[in-house]
Amino acid sequence: MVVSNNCIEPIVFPLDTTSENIVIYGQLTDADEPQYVYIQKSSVDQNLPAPIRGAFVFLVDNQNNRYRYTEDKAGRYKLNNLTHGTPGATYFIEVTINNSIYRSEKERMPTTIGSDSVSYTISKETYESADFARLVHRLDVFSKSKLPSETDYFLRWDTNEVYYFQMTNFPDIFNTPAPDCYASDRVDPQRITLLNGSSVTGKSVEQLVAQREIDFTFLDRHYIIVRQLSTTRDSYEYWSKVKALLANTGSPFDIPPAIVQGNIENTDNPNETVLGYFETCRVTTDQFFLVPGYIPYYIEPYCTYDFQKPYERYPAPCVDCLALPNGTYTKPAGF
Amino acid sequence: MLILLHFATIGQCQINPLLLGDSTKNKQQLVALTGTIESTSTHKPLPGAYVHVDGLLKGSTDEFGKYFILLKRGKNRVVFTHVSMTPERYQIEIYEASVLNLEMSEKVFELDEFVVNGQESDYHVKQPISGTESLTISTIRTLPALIGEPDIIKSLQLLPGVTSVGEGTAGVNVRGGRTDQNLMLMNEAIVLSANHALGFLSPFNSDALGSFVLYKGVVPSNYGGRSSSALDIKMRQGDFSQWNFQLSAGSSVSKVLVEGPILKDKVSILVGGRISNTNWLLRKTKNDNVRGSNVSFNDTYTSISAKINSKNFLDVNLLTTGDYFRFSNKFGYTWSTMVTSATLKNLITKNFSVNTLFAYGRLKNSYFDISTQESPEITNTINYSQLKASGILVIGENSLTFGAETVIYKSSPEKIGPHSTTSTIVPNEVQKDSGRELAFFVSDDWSPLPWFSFSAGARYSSFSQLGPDSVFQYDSNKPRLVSNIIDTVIYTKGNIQRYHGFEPRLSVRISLSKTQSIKAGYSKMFQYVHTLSNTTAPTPVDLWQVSTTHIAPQQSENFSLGYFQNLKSDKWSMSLEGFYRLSTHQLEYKDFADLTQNPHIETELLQGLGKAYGVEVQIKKNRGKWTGWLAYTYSRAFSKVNGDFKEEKLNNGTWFPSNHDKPNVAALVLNRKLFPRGSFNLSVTYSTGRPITIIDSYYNVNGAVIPNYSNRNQYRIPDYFRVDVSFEIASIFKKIDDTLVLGVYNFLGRKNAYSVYYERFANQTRLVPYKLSLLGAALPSITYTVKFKGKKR
Repeated sequence: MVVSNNCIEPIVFPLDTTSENIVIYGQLTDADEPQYVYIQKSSVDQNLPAPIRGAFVFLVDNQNNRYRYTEDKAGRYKLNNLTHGTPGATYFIEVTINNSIYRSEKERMPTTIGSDSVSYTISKETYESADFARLVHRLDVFSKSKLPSETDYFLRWDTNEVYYFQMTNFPDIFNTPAPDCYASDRVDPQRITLLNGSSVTGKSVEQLVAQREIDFTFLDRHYIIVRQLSTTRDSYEYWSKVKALLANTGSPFDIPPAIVQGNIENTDNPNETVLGYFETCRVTTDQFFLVPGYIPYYIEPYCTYDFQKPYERYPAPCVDCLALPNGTYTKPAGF
Repeated sequence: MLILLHFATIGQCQINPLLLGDSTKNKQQLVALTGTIESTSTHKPLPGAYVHVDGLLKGSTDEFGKYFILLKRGKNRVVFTHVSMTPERYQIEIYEASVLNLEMSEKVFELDEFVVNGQESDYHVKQPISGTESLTISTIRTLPALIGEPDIIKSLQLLPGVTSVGEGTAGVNVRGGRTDQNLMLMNEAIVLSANHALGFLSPFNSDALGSFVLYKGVVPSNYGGRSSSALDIKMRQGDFSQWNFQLSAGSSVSKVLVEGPILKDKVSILVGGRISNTNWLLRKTKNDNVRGSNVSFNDTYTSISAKINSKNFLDVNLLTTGDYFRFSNKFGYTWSTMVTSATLKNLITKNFSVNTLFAYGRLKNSYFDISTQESPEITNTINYSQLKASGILVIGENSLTFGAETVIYKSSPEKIGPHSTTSTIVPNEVQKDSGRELAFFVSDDWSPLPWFSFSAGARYSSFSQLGPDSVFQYDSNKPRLVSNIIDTVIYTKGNIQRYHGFEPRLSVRISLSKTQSIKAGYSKMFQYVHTLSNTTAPTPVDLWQVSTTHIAPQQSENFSLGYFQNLKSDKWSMSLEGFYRLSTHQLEYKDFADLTQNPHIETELLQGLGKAYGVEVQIKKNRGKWTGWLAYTYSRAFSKVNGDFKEEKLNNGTWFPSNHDKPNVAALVLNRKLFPRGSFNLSVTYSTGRPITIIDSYYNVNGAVIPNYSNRNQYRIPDYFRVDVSFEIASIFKKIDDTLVLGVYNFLGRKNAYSVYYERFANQTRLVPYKLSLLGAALPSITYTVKFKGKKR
């Protein structure tokens, strides 16, 4: 009876606009790939978190070797002179922002890791909201993982995508084709898939690691790459809290939400709330790709040339590859 | 000897002056007054009538209508009250043991005679203990109720200094205390949880309710084990002379009550039961989840009272509750309470009586999740046994209370298992802790001077954590984490850890005049059992946890100072009280604490300081066409956890508002008697919104957009305001003793915020805050009650 009379309305809080915090997130893996640290300020309003530029960032290993990161994009710092970390070695990062030094705790790169075999299914799903219902095709990505023989390990799965994007071919007298365009992104980043080795009994586990709507980005070759990350216990606990936060809806019966404390602090002011985490991981990957022929549904063309359509009415990515998330005209490795 | 002199009228009350005895013959300071009270209409003895002397409750009539009190030599103001009878007032000048037999007439609705306060109107001025509250059952019945069912706990929330986290939450917060810091007693037996009917009702059936007192300031030393307050509820005995039957049918709750003599004037029984009928309303909603939900509850109260002989009495009581709630096909709770007690009252001499209580209780709750294939069900059970013996010895002007009490808490292992046959969960058990509380107490109420009285007492309490149990040893140089366990000590039996402490209690009253007094109080209290609830509001599945090697008892020191005054011949009364409480080892929870299936629960808990302070004002109109009160409380409640390690600090180790910190709380209660057989009732409540933790920014980590929450309890939900009305009319049908109550809860239909929750739209990464109002509209209720009285046996 009580529930039947309940009522839900949007509410606006006068937020404390001084509550922006520094966010530092870095990941060092044992794979030969670019290693990044991202630095930003949390965003109180609806804007994206603001990148912090001009920071000095160093990686320090257990031999006290210091490796410099340099800013290659606003708020993104790329590690120089080192392409990967070493399992069993210990690392931390040191970041200087406006004379304040932020230092992470030491993280030992794990030595154990399992292996994955990924698969997918495609299904129909109806997205319902208060105003409308929409039928979409959904890609479900599964990973069947062979687990390490030890029990003291902590795993996380990230799913990425890389795809070719066919921009609009505008006719010209030289019949110049549209440039090749590629884009990459995280898939379903709000899904945190974790596994604690001490909580499983078998030697393999199969789980859903990502879901994604099938849209115009599947009009050409589309790679899905699943990364299994072997992390530390502390990293696992950090991501467990993030997962709890993302699942929390604020009900009085929920576990009260809180700030997720990472492993980075201001050396001069330990009371400053510093968000984010620096983690060291072993990585294995498995991948598959999809082309339209694999998808049993029709995908509406996105960038087809229409001579009656003014140039400015084409979707931005059809005329500018950089409008896509992480869009690039450079062919990625493996394509 | 009884000489009736003359009648006098003061204000609206008739006072009967009496001279009893010869002033020259007896020089004893205290003299006995005894007698029998009968009903004017039936000429039968009247059990359950109260005897007040100079504003203080001194005794009551037994099942034969007999009373026995001691009066000081000279003039005494004696008032006899009964819930359904018109009070009888006497100005008695007494010098030797005397008998006063009287008759009381049934209360009729006279515009000027309706008395709001169950005690005498000057109770607050004369009562020596500060911070006590009580309401009559008739007052509780007149208050507009949520589902048409009067409730003691909900009624308490209209009194100054008493609040709750919100609608639909069980328990009360008294003077900044947590809900588990209130000692709740039913006929002196401990009741661990008031969570019933999803928090909208307490387990106490108002039809079986006798009286209650809430000690929110100084708690007398015969009560202990909680660090905030004590609520002493006395349930009714069955009628010793005739069978009565009562039936109520309401839009949400139906109930029945039967009482009568098993052996006339020897043994009586009272059986009452309530059952919900709310699901039909759920089916009326448009929301699929709500329509697919199920809520039901029931409770029973049984009392058997026996007079063994003229000096020995036995009461046996049993309270049971059962609750079930399932939200759609997602999750649900079941929980039940059972409390049974046997009390033997022995009148050893005229000045000395002994009460012996044995009680046994069980609280069992389960949480089940049916949204996943695992479909787990987690079950917790705590059993407790209580033995209490107390004596009251009257020596001269002193009333000495002393005794001992022990409570054994035994928790069953927390079980997780399959909720259904298709469940894939692997069953498991986690051992829970047990312990024994032991206390000795003594107190003395003394009025050495007419203008000065005090109540001084002390309680020595101890607690032992009992084996068998495993105690984890943590590295003392590191935060208390599972990863820092360095050893495990296994105890097969006996004491594992012992705590003890001395708890002084003192309350002093100084009368400035016959209508004014000042009271001051101090008390220290220990609490050895705690609820573990990592949620804002109490839930049905809160765990009870005894103190252990790693969980120290909570302690509180309470100070209060108050001014009390009655005006216009007690027609009006007012009070102004201030309080300050400092608590240590108050339980808080680490961020993201996981309390279920956790064998090292101490790694999720933090203990810190708590402080609360405030001022309470109450203005009450006791008689007249309109009666009622206005109560306002300004109070604050804070917590502080500043451990040695970063993981053991909350909000950087600074003071932060407690979940129930509501600075401004006001309540207005009005009752208007409508001649000849009706009454109109209004209650208005306002409070500052409670503190919450909300999302105040966002950031990206590894592609995930993560909400960043504020410091704990940094923000507040909007303020709360509610108006309730009810109209009660008696004798709907001629020759039938019936009552119809029409009520509208939340008359203005205000959408008060119960909580703030977040929702994510299909492709959005950011969450949108929504205000959830449990009651988004005016909620009418209707209850029809009919009573039948059998013939006298």
